[in-house]
Amino acid sequence: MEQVAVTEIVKSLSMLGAAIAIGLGGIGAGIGIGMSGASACEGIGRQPKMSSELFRIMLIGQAATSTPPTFALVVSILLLFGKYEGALLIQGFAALGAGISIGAGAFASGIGSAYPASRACEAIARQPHLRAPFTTLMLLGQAVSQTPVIFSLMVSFMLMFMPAKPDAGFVEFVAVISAGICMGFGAMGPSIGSGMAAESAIIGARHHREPEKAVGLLTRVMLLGQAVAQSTSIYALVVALVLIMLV
Amino acid sequence: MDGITGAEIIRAAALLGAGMSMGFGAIGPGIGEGFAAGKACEAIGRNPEEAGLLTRTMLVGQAVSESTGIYALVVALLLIFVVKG
Repeated sequence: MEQVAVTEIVKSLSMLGAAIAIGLGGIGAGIGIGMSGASACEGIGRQPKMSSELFRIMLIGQAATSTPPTFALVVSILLLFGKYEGALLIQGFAALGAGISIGAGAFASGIGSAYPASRACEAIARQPHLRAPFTTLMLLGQAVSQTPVIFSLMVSFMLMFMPAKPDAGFVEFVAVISAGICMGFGAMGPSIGSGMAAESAIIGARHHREPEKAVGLLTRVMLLGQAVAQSTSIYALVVALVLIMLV
Repeated sequence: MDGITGAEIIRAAALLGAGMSMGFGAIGPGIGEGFAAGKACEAIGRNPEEAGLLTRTMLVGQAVSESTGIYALVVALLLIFVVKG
């Protein structure tokens, strides 16, 4: 085998990381944005007069759902156009880890934040006078559902921009990839779970006798439940940081 | 590639195992706890008088569901700090 320059290995690992980031990260939001669109279509089919209102809610929900793949795109572009001259081998493996972290995180967050968006479109089509509380619950739920992808983004940036250890060996190479897997896949469950909680909060408000009064109570219970569901993503963040910093 | 000792391979495998343990181990509890929170919200919507009881039940269910996440965390920390090559 001919001698391959370190720069070329680092560059090819970064390209692989960029592809994983946006390739995996785009799947979830692609499905999720379609779910909101489908619910809006069903709603407009039932109530054609509501079309402009539902169209607006659909776009708001879809815009929020598009946030995670935007993070993935940013990481992808940074990896594609990084500087590789004089890079160390560890930076290539860290770039691959960064791609896995944001890719897997954005995948799940795209699906998770679509649940409340899709349910809000359906709920507003049936009970148009309650559009304000439903929109509030949707946006709050989406925001919480996207917390894990922020952790993923943080770990990705740390992996990309931390100063590289010059004496890093095989163990460190594996540790940075492991940190990416840990945070990326660790973000999946909490994102989807929080999205499901927000979806059901909207269903709960619909079933209440006086939905305007129920929103405060339901928001509190939803946030409490989501906070507990987020705890595992914080464990994943801790383990990823230990793998990056201490190893 | 030369220069990789057996001890390094074991250490690297332990670190990779730590990441996979916590990463995949977090999926189940995250989805499960979110599901429990959602069902509690639905039930409170139908029956708001029982909000306190439902919130308590939700938290107990989530705490039990959390246990596998904590197992994953413990295993990950053991793999990082206890397993030496």
